[in-house]
Amino acid sequence: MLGSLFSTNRRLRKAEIPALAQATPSPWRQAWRALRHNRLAMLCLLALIVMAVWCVVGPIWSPWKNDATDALMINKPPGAEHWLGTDFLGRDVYTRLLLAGRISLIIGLLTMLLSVALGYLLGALSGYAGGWTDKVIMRLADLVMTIPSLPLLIVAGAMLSELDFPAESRIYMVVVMLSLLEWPKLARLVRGQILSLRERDFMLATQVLGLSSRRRLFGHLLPNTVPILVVMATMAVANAILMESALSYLGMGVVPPTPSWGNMMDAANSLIDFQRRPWLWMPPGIAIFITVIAINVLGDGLRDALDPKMKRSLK
Amino acid sequence: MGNFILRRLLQTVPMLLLASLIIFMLFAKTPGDFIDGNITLTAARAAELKAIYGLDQPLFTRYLHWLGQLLRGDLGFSLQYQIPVSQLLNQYIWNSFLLASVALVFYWGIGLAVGIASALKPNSLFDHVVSVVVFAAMSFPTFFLCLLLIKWFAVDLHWLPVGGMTNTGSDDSGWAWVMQVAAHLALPVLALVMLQAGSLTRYFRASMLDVVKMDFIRTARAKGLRERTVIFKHALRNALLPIITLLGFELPGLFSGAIITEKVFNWPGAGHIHIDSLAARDYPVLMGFTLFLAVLTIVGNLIADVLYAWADPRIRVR
Amino acid sequence: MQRLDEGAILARLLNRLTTKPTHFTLALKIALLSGMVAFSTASFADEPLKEGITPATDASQIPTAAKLRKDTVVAGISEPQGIFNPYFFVNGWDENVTNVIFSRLIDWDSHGKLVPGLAESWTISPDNKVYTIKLRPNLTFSDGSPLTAEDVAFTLTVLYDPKYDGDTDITLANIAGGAEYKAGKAESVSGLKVIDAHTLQVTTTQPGATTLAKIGGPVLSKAYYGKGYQRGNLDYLRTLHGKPLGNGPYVYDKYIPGQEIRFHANTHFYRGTPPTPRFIYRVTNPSTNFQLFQTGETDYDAFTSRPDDIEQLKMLGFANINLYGSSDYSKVEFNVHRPALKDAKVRQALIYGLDRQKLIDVVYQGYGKVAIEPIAPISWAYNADGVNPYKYDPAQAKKLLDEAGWKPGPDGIRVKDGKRLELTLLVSKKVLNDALIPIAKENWQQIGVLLKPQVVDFNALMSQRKAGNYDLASFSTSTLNDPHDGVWDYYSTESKESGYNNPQVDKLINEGNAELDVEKRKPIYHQLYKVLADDPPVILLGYRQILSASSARVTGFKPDIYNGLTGSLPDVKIVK
Repeated sequence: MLGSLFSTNRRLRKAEIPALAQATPSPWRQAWRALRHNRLAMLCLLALIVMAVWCVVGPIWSPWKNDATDALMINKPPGAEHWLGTDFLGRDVYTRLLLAGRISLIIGLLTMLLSVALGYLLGALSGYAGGWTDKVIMRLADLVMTIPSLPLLIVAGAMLSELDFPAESRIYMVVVMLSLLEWPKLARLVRGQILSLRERDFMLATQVLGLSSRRRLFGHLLPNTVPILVVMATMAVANAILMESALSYLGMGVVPPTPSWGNMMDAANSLIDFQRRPWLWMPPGIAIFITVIAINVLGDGLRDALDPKMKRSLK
Repeated sequence: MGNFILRRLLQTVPMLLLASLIIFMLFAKTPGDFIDGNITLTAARAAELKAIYGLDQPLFTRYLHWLGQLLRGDLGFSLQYQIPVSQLLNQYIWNSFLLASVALVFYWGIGLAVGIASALKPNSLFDHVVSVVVFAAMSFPTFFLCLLLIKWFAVDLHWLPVGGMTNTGSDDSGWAWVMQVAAHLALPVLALVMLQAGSLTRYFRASMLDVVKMDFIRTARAKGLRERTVIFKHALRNALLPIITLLGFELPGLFSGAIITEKVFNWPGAGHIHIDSLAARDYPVLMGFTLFLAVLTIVGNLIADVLYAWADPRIRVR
Repeated sequence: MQRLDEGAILARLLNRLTTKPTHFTLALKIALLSGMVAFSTASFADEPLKEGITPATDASQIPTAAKLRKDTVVAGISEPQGIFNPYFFVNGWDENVTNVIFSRLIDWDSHGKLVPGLAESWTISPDNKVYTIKLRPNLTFSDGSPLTAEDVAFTLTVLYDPKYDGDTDITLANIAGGAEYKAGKAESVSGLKVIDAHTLQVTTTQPGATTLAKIGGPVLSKAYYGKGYQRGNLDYLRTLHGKPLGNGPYVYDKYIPGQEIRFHANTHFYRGTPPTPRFIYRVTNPSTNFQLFQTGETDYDAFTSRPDDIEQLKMLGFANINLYGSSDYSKVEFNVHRPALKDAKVRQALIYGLDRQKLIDVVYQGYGKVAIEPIAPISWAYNADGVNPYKYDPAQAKKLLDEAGWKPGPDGIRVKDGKRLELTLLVSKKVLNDALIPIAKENWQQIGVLLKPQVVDFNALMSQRKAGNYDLASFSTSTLNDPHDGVWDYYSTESKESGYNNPQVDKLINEGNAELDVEKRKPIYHQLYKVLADDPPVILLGYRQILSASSARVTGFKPDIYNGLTGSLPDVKIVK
């Protein structure tokens, strides 16, 4: 009877203590419920979904195509025809904002997924396994950190242009490159966290309990790295979108005529444009701001929901 | 510990060698070279110049030549600036260092203070306001922020100079020179702090939140210790651990130069060297500068690892 | 699909009728009358600024910071690199600096004609091969040492040194004995003969219109730069780049890297000591150079020639605004090796099918002009009569493509022998290209050509061009001091990458270069431009104008494209 309390056989447990079993859902479902109750986080999730859908669907409904230039209508302020005004080529800012949103959101998400996945995996492996694995991965990380990103982007860009890659797909190359260069930092952060967690008392307890390596790693060690993982992931999205903006300023990143929030802001690049034509830079700036905040609040909510120590009522 | 440091230092030499080879190949593969950028040359003259600079030789020969020079302590000669690379870097990196280190002190200080304060009162009004301000500052493009600061403080209020490092034509030295540089330093530091304090705040906050929930803090509080002792003596030390890694990342940043900020404020730093030497394909400068930053990166990580092991005695790299 | 409205159609009709820059404002007014669009009170309400100097309106607005400078004039400069030697600098900014420190033997006037500098006069032999240059008497360098024909001969000899790696290609001057000296077969350049302290005779092997300008450059002191000179060893010269000795209006004082360059007036200057005792170049950048000018940190700077900037400058009140034409032109080069572009009809069609006027209007907003020949209007060689302007005409473009055998395919893109008419365009990141890509894409889509733009950095663009890996490449020429410079790229031996080869063009280029008399060269180039229009090697895009401003606190600045600000620098005075 006592043994069944510690048994990992869930079915057995449920059969033995049916009432309790039904009342206690799995940790993941618990977390989802907790998240649902966090109104702010849910609002942000909704905002992100709405934004994504709007960016995908919106341009299809707009009468203006991305490339439609009109020399008579350059730099017009918002009005009935152009809801957010026009840019220096007479193109509709609203449509471009949405099209740019597709690109920027994809960049943010993809870069985050790639770099965080790679960084987390390698960092966790390195921190947990120790020994030669640790040494090799960390030295590799050091090496990758020394490679300068701008020349790499130029080389990759030139190679793709020689291979006649369509300009719109170039951005995925940028994503891959940036992710491959970002993972060492994330790996080091994760590794540091794991190193300190590994020595804590609760991990000692799991060793004493004789749990399998796999159980120790996935059931106990890694879940405690979720807080820093969440911060890393949310920062990674923000950084990716902002990095793209800086790259546009330098002439790399998403190349015209494909719009991205970053290169739309770059188009208003003098103080005059900044002061007189706020419709050029405010929409993409606000869009980036909302995205960054929403992701971070959602991330905070996720972290709180996944944290076993948060006091929550069981429903 | 000493053994550990020695072993790591020995490991850095082959790593740097490998890094230099990879970086060299990367630059060599970058399409175009120093001569290609000049459109006024006739084909014959271009070929002549390539021969003078040795650009027509096979890659590996050029690498070995460069390596040989490096081992003799010679970083090479800049094609663009026509002075030794070490002299060129010397002219600019110390200015970048000044700007970056002053900014570092401020944004780490602010990040620490604000991060900890918001962790102590999670989800309070203060916390929310801080979050919003942090994200607003992060989303704001560097370029605009710098222009705005110049407009407000330099043009409209006349409090601070528009750019540069010293006043035009001034021959001041000693204390007067220090005051001038400080005045010129104010706006770029402000810009850098506003842009970078935010992300640090988030990391500090997350780490502090984690630590504050732990049992030993509960114990300390139960023991009746003052809140200040609990926070500063017990919680902070443990919260700082993951942050040490971040500090290690800062070392190369101190010398590499903030490209956009330096450009807008006309701060004579190393930032423009990145862009200009890359655009011109000035290989000696690119190699020298990148290698210098590579050394700093590796050393920075090493220092972070050492600090980590020292700060938390339970951590021993097996 | 773009919404067409009445105003737009009317505007397009007007487009076809006129090509003057002011047509743009005319079209706007028509659209206003047809009541289609409401305009904001943006800068288009003003007429474009005229070329030349528009004086300041209110000198009382001069900022106090500027008034505090009693004896110094400050000008802005973007990226000096510290190579202060007129034959060794790598970028144009250092050239701005050397122009202050060094004087040329022979100068240019504001239209590109050669006028005396340090040289008092020169004679050319009837076969156009021998130049005899006479220096002014009593010339000295800024340290008082005499400047003689020996110094000129030394300067030209260094340019023939086998290790000379600077930008000046003296071989194009074809001085006799130069090649032998370079190859080590002779101890000196035989074509350089010092007749006496004030006279130098230069013998060339063939006539060249650009030779006089090439041999008439700045003079280096033999005593200073030639101390211990031996052929093949120029390393010592590098140490002198930072310590120049010249003979220009100002003497170099100090260089603070990334910040400023200081000079003081040269009392030995051959035109007399400049009235302003001190001159400083201060490093500025395009993002904040207006603010620096506004607060009085600089007295002179160059700005972008856009209505926004001009309006801002006008509002300052204390700015003298200078607008002048540039001597370069922008173009899109055809890779004539490619089968589709071999046919001149296809190339002509592409030009007819591109609305260059719209491009120039959008990019320069009244301060640019569509280019019709490979030389800018500022030059004496510019002559538009009878040269095909290739006004935007999609119908003509379609007709030409049909004639060339390209028939529209199922999706609108033309096909011939199973190949689609798809062209790759290489560009670097520039405002001009930002506008060119969408406009060209749209225009050419209409005539059945698919454009595939590729944005790469400038150096990569040039190397890809050399590799022949492109259909079209967009870039601008550098400053053109002579019409020969504007067409040299189309000479068959120089255009190996693009594959352009037209014997008649070659012949006319040679003729134009061999003739030295400006009046005789004009018709040759006129003919050349007509031939180039029929067999276009490039799509000519536009000419631009350059804007600079000087504070009302100083007088005397008269910048032009051939001399920049340094030509008039000796006359600059601070107004009391």
